[in-house]
Amino acid sequence: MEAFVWDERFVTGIEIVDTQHHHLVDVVNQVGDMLLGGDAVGESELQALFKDLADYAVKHFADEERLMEDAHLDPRHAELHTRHHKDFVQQVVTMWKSRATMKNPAEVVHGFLTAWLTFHILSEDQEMAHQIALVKAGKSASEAYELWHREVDSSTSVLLHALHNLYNVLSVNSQDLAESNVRLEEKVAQRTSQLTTANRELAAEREELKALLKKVENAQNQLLQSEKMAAIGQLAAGVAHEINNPIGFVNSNLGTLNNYVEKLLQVIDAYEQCEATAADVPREKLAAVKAAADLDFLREDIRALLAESQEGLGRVKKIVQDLKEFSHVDEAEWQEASINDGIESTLNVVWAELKYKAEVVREYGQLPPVRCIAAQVNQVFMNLLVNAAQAIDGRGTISVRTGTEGDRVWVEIADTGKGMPPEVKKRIFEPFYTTKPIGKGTGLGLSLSYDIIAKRHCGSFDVDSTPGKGTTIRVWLPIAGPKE
Amino acid sequence: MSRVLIVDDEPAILNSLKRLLRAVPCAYGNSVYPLEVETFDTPAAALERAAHAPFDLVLTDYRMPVMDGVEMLRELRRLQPDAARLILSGYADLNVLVSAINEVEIYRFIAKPWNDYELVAAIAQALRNRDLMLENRKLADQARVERGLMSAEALEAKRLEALEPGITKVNWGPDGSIVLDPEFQDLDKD
Repeated sequence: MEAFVWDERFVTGIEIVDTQHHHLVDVVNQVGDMLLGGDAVGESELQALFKDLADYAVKHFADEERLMEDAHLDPRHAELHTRHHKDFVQQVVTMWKSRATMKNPAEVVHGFLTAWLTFHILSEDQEMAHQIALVKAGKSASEAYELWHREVDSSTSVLLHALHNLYNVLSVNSQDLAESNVRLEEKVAQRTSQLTTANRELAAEREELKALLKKVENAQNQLLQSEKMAAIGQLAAGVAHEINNPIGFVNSNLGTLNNYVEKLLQVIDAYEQCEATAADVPREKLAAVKAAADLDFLREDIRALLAESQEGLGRVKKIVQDLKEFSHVDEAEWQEASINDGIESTLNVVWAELKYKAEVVREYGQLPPVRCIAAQVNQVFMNLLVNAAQAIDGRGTISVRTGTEGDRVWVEIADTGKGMPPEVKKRIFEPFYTTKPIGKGTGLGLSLSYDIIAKRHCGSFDVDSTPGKGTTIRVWLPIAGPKE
Repeated sequence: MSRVLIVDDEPAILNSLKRLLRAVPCAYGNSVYPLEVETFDTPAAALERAAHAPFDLVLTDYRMPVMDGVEMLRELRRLQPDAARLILSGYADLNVLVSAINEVEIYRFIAKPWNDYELVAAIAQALRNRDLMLENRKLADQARVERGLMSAEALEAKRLEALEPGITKVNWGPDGSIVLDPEFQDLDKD
């Protein structure tokens, strides 16, 4: 970029005009230097300097226009000159605003300012000065105008005129450009606002979808819970049987024990009487009391009665404990759980369903703790065990095996029941699909089991079944739990 | 002595019932029924015994491995039609009740856990009811004989049949031989 150099030909002879031109040249050079400085120069500094330039230009133009007015110059010159001032101000403001979009604003802005000022000072300002001088020398305004136009040689005049035109065309073009820029910006703003609205709508929709998803998840959880309750309901009869048996005999034993204690107290009473009356109490009387109490039998039976009752109550306690363990009511959702223990407590809970149908063979492997929701995994085992028992007509065998392979554990439940044909086998995980009679199954057991194992725990099922031979279902679970 | 057969797959239940029936007198109104109790923890063993010894009353659990209480009572009724039948069960399913009443005509269904007094009273009532029925039948048959509607031989045959079901019928083989009942064949082996 070349510096704007003051030229002696710029001198108009009017002192105030020349001083102001000098200052303008300096300021234009300062603006150019600053623009060249790029990022290093603060935007606010640049703005301030430009404002100075604009203000100064406006003041200078006003001074020139006042001079022309005072001298009553020919309107043909004065009007054109004034219009060019206005054009320049507008032009330079537009250029300044759009400098951010320019490739190198320093060159363009500085170049424009330099070129315009050079052209303006050399042509119009010189013309103005000359005409003012002529008017002062006594010529009329129109004479001064025509004299000047005659003096300047025709080719220069034509050139200057052409330059004016060229400048006008440029000015109009850049004005259009600026306007279309503004329109473009308006359009962009409009589009942006449309986009913002659309974005906001999308975000709202997303929130809605999220809420819906949450609802679906809740429904799924409720389904899981109610399926569990249904399954437990089905088990309730069996569990009640398991509990009613021990409660039945313990209760009856307590009644009998009451009876025994009465008899024992009678014997003790007899002995105490002996003590009180001392010495010569007939032995036969004591013997009669002992015989009435059936003391020999009581001695034997009380021990058995107490032992049996204790065992019975222990059994009730264990069932309640297993139910609690099975449902894991008081534990956190995800936990490191022992799969073998889970199967054991599940087996105890469904024991009433199994023991009349099958012999249960346990072949447990050594398993590491598995990260899982134990209550849900147990629910899956319960479904598989109950299904296995229900598949058996008469009496059969249910084998429960566990083992480890790589980073997964497996649990296999095999029955010697009636098995499934392929068309049943491929539908077992479908919701509401059941082959059980009405009231015996919800058709959701395996579907939810699949959900629990495959979706929540990232595990899988292997199903192997032969009609007439039995079914083997293997559940795979990743030891570390699902990858978050 | 009234002979009572009790079946349950749970030995502790059998023991507690034995204690109960030993200690509490089984009485209904003015009649007292001294009991002679036999217990078995499988229906098969109970049926085996019932094939050889008569019982006045059978009290059985419902849910047992291999054979349930209703199936056992059906078999027992074939062997001893006049024995009173009662079920003592912790499994009170409507289907079970219906089949117990309709198929094997039980006298009472008692739920576990039971009330000692009610259980003993039910047994006494069942025995009393059975006595009445047998007496009625006897009197009716006597009346029939007196009125010439029944021969003394038929009456005797009926009495024997009641004592040992099937005794008055002969199983003829195709070659004219007599086929013995399976249980007697078993006896031969013993």
